[in-house]
Amino acid sequence: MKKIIYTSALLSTVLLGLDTIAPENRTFEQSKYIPDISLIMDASLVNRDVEDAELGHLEVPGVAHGIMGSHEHGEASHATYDAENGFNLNYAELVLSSSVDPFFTMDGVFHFSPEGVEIEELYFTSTALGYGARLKGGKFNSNFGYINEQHHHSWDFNDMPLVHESFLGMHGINETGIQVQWTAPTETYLMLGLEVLQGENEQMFGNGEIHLSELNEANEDIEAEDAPSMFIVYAKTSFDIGDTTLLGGLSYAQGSSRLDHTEDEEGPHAFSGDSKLYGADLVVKHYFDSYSSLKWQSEFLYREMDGTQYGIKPDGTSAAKDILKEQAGLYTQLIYAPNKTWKMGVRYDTIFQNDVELAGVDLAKPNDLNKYSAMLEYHTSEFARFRLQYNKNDALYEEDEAVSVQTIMLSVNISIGAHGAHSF
Amino acid sequence: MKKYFIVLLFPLSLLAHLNIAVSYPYIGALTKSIGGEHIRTIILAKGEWDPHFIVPRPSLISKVRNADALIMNGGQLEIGWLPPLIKRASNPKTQANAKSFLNLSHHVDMILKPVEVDRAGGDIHPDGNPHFHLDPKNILVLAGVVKEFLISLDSGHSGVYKKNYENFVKDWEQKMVLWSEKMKNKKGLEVIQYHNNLAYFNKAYGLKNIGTIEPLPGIPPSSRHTIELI
Repeated sequence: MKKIIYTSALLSTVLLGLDTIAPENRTFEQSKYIPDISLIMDASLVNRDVEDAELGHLEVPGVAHGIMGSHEHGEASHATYDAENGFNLNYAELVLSSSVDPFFTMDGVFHFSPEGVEIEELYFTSTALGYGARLKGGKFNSNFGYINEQHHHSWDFNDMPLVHESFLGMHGINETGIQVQWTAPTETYLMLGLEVLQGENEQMFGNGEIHLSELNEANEDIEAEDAPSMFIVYAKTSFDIGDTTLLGGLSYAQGSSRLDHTEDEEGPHAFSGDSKLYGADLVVKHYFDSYSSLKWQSEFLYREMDGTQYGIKPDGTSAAKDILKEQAGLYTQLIYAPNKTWKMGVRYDTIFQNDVELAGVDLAKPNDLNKYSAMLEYHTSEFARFRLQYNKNDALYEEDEAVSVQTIMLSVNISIGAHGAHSF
Repeated sequence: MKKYFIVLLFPLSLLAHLNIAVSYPYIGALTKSIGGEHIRTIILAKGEWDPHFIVPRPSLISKVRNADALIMNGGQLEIGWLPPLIKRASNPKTQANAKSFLNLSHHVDMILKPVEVDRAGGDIHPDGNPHFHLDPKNILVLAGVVKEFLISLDSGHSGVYKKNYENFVKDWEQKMVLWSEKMKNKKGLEVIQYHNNLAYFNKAYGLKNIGTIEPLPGIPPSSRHTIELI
């Protein structure tokens, strides 16, 4: 009898023991090496006083066309966020990051949207160079200016500043290349950066061949430029005055431009030349305590695009003319967070210089393009944000007619998984 | 007086002091007590701020960049602000795997480790309550850890660090007697806090936490919960 009890006790221990081997004790178990994972969703309910179909045809005259709303671009269809009236599923952002070895970390940011999956960022970063130097390689958001490096979900408004979206498109400067940054060994924060990028920004830069001969045999192709073709430098500094922090920066980007708009329905053309972009940014943030703050953020952009414009005639032949664009704009926004739950803010956007000279003739493009925004946020925790935003966009034109577009949006941004740390 | 004595003994060492960045003021004070004249502590977070929500101001990047070592609290207390600073500063000496990096939470027993880790329970610390420095007994443990850490970085002054450590322990033990005396009649006292910051303090002196103003960790207070609490 005793023997049976012992045996069964022993047996059950063995069986239970087998059953309860913790996953981390399995011989070839690797789960401890799973990178930090987080998933962010962004969706919205939009009410705009303009039809979706019309929105894609609106342009910022002389600066950009079809930047709001989805529009066909060759074979690819591009959509900005919150483009449709009604519900929008903007994206699911999957972020994976981990140390690689004692010398590098790696980060991957993947955007899943109804249009497909995009590698938003994928880069390695050095950790062991020392002397304040850091090397980053892969695809990443450039550190040009302030807002460009940030992801959509850390912006204070659902849409990009007007001048950024008009000059650089909905992705901003998001390129493949390398970045070297150096932080000076001083008490005051001073950082210098250099980036060499492929240079394929669809709104302003580019280096690919443009096959004008396919439109008409009489045309000559626009030759490709050697890549990488985009170079960026910047300097940033910051200091604190009591509980107020100032962060300022100057940035400069230059590169070749090859813009292929030959398939466009309205005014098909191509541009070939060189472009320069100058930026200045200033952020002033005051902290009342750990939970409440007032943030004033402004950025100025000026660009010069110098080259040849190839207007495409109905028969496909092209007419080359010298073109020079000198354009400038800025945004300035004020955000007040009384506590961790609420946040509110206003933003003013403007493009105030819009000089376009075609074959020596000033095209007299409008130069008071403005946009006004206001928002109110409610946070249930650090991981969930509901935002009500109102926009009045007076920068859009149809043909030569100004169209004022008003939008009201209720958006939700939720994240699960690894704790996203806040950068300044 | 003793401090000046030490300075007189090692005048040259002043030129080669170690820059030690620390996340919170209490770590700075502790490290300074042990390191004395041979180290310079650079405190990243201000004492009056909520330790969970420190603003990663760019000026802190420079501080981490210029540091010879980094001492942090750990237990995920710094998860929301220190990682981007370390990343931006790109200082090999302050990387989490470096010899000159010290995570204090690895050296104390943390209490209130959650049985269930789910954000539905708020923004909880999965490794346990990280506010362990408020138990005076833990400070003694940490002082020993910091002493060993400093010796590993700068063995040339190990004698000084050991001596400072012994003095610190002596002072601290005296104070602990004093505090116990003062807190004697507070045993069993029921307290309400904003966040369970004082768990270790309460445990050390027998106070009873009966509620927090925030309904769950990291969830902002609501009027309903506050009324319930009252």
